[in-house]
Parts: sequence; structure tokens; C-alpha cells
Amino acid sequence: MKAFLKWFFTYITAFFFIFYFFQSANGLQSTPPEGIKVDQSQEDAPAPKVHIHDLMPQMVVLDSMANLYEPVEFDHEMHAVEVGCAKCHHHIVEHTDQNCTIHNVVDQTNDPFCARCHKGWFPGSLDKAKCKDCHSPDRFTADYLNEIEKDKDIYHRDNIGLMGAYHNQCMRCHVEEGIGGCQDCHVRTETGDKEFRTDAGSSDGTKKSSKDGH
Amino acid sequence: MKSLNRRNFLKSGFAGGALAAFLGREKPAQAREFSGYTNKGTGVLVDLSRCVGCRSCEAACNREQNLPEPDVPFDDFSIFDMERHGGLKRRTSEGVFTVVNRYNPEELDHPLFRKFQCNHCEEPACLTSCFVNAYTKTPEGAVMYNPKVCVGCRNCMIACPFYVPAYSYSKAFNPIVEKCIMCYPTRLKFGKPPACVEACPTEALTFGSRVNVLKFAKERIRQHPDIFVDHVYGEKEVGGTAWLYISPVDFKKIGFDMNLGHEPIINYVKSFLATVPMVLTIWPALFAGFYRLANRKDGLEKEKNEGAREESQS
Repeated sequence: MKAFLKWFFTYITAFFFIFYFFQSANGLQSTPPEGIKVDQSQEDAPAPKVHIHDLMPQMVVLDSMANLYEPVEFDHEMHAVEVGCAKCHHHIVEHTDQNCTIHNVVDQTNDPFCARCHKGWFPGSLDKAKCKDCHSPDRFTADYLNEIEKDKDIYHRDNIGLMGAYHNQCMRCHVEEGIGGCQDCHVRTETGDKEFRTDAGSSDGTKKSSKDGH
Repeated sequence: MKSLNRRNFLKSGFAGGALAAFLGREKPAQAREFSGYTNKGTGVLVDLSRCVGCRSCEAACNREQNLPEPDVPFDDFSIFDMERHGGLKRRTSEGVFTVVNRYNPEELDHPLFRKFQCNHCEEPACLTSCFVNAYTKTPEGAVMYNPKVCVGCRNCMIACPFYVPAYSYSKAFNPIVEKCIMCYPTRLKFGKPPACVEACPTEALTFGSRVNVLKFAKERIRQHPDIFVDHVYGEKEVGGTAWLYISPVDFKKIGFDMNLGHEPIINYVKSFLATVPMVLTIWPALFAGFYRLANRKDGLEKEKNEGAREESQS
């Protein structure tokens, strides 16, 4: 029943956003075409507000471990609605500033130290909104490590990789909600079963395999 | 050529003794200053606060090292309840190079998991105890074992302060010592992290140069004094290890040996072992010389007496 309600809620919100999008698109179309003189009062009017929910992805497919686990369809939209943006996207705080052009959802960090570098990153620009823009998917390759070694100006040297960032971020809530097991999100492939030796111990047990060697 | 008289012999004898005593005293002093050749070597930081006990590292290790079938599948978490004799936790063995154990410290409301494998010491006790040089410490930091020269004395198993090397007793012919080799031949050599590090979903294992990961460890403790105990296990223990650990609870409570000291294990026997060659080479010559000098007069007298007897007989 709880799951059904959750889905129902998600569909309703999704429908609402699509509806909202069409409305705002219609609003944009109604601006006067080129060549037609517009009076001053209209030019000074505030820029049309864009809702952050229209810019963000609805679904994100996570398939970096596709050899062991089936790709996971992460419902970005649902999570954004349910828990908010700032829970995962750091360097932002939620606010209610009515003059914000990207609709009043999030603002960049109010920490002056962070703002020295992160000012205008997100939501001012969506270039740095993706997790992998900061959290490398190849955290431990020699190239990445050498790059860190070379550039002494990098402040966040101990920057967690993409897979670690996802798991540490997601599992905090998922464990609380009792869905913290690996296979609650990831469906294991045949290769994955082989990796975890799911057939182990099923034989008669007389085989001396990994006995204590001490 | 100058003939060896009593005076010269004693002079050189005392000079040699003094020199030997001087060298014998100097060597352990040098060893005490050893703080590890850290700059080239790689290391892994184990953040125990991040480990969720999924056993992915064990599975990856099994695949990478072509280890035999485990007793239970790697997704079977009942193994955390398994105990060896005397309530001891699981340990490494000939077919298991890394184990994850669960602890329930009373300060935490959730269990704590501890990954355990060869710590790849900076000054490995297994290496120094091996008299056929079967062990090598590569520049990348891995402690390697060569079964071709191993004679099976198992000194390394006794010497290891972490009880890591295991012996393949199940093999009737040509048994060897088995332990984690940090995936050196297949991965580390080619600039890739060990298989367990790559498999860890929560990045509880951070791979990098040992100097860097040690800095990360200290920085994490500094930024989160509420989470971590102010100690990096492996920074100084037994002269430093390539694998470092930071923990939210006292290391003693989760099975770490806190009585190992900061000296490499070899330092405890180095001063004694340095005197062995001196005793074996200098003492026989020295005392044989003293003996001959002490008996020289008797010999001369004997010769003279014998000469006199021969004369009287003829």
C-alpha cells in the first residue's frame, strides 16, 4: 500500500510538471515576434522563471558495474521531490528568494570559504551539477593519482570517487528505511553470481577447499 | 716481513675487539632512526567507518588470485557469526587472503566491520626472518613471496606480528606459503589498484601513494574528530605498514594488537644477531692465540728437554 501511494504520488507530480512545462512553453511563445515594437515597460519585466525541475534529468541509468549487476534506473525526479536537492547536491542551500531566475528552489552555498571557488556552479550553471563532474569514475587509476600528485593547488585531494559517493550518499537513508541490502537496488547478473561464488558450499562438503592453513 | 711477536699480536687483538664493539653498538642506533621508505611506495587507507560488510572485496580477491571455492558464498553474511576455537574471529588462510570480520562495540548502535589482510610492512618481519630471501618488498610497496626458493621452514609465519602468512597444508606435495600480494603481478605493476580496492562500493579502501593516503587519514581525523579516534593504525606500528586504518572506536576493541610497538620486528634481534658473526670469527682466533702464547714457554722447554735427552742418549 505504501509503495503504491509512493508511485501514485510520483505520477501525479510528474504529470503536474509536464503540465507546468507546456504552460510555460506557451507563455514563451506568446512573446511578440521580431520586428514588432515592444514598449519599455514590457522589456523591464522579469525574465520568465524556469523551474529547476524542468532542467534536471527524470531518470539516471547507473551502469558502471554492468558486468556484475544489471543497470540501475535511478528515479532522479522522485528523489528530488521526496528528499529535496540539497540532500545530495552539496554547495547549495534551499531558499525561497522570489527573484531567483531558476525558480526558487536552491541557491549556491552561503559558506564564504566554499563560495570562493564554488560560486555560481550550481544552480547558476548546470555544468557542475552532475556527480561525476567532481567525483571521478576512475578514482584509483594511475593517471588520476598522478594528476593529483602533480597539481599541488587542488584543495579537495581526498575526493571520493563516483561509486563511493553514490553508495555513501544513498545508503545513509536506504539503511534507515530498511532497504540497505546490495540486491535491494542491484540485480546481480550471471557474472555477478560467479564473482560471489553463489554455488559454493552446495557440493557434498567433503572437499577441502579453503581450510585454515595455520 | 715483520715477525708476529706477542706485543703486536695483543695490540691488533685489542684494536679488533674495540672496533667490533664499536660497530656492534652503532648498528642498532642506525636502525632505530628508520622511519620507512615511504615516498615511492603505494598504500591503502582503510576507513572502518565506511565499511558496510558487503564482502565484495573478498569475492574480488578470490577471483583475481584464482583462489579455491570458499566454504560459503560471498553473499552469505552468516559467516560473521562463525567463530574459530576460543571465540576468535576468522583469519587469513591458504585459500582466503582477505577476511572481513564483524564487531559490535558498545559505543556504536551499529556493527563495525574490519577488513583484514597482509599489511605489507615497510620493514617486513617475514622478509627479515627468511634465510633464503624468498620475500621481496617491491618499490611499489607490495611484499612478495617466491615459492621457488622457499624451503618451507615457516619462520615467516612465526615472525609475522599480524599472523598473516598461511601454509598450504592441504597440498601433499610442494606446499607453499600463501598470503596477499597486493595483486602486484597482475595489477599493481601496471598502475592499477588491488582488486579489493576496485571492488569496494563505499570506497572504504582508498588507494594511493602511502604519503598521500597517510595525509588523507590525518585530514579525515582532523575534520571529523567526532567520528574518528585520533590514531592512524599502521603509521608507526612495527616501523610502518603500507595498509593504514582509521576507526570510529578504540582499535583495541576491534581486534587490533596495540602492543606491537613502533620498532620494526628485526630491531629486537638485530643487536644480538650482529654479535654472532663477531663471536664466530674473532673469538676462535683470539683465544687460540692466547692459548698458544700461554703454552709457548712450556713448548720451548719441552723441546729443549727433548733435545737434551737426545744428546745424552747419543
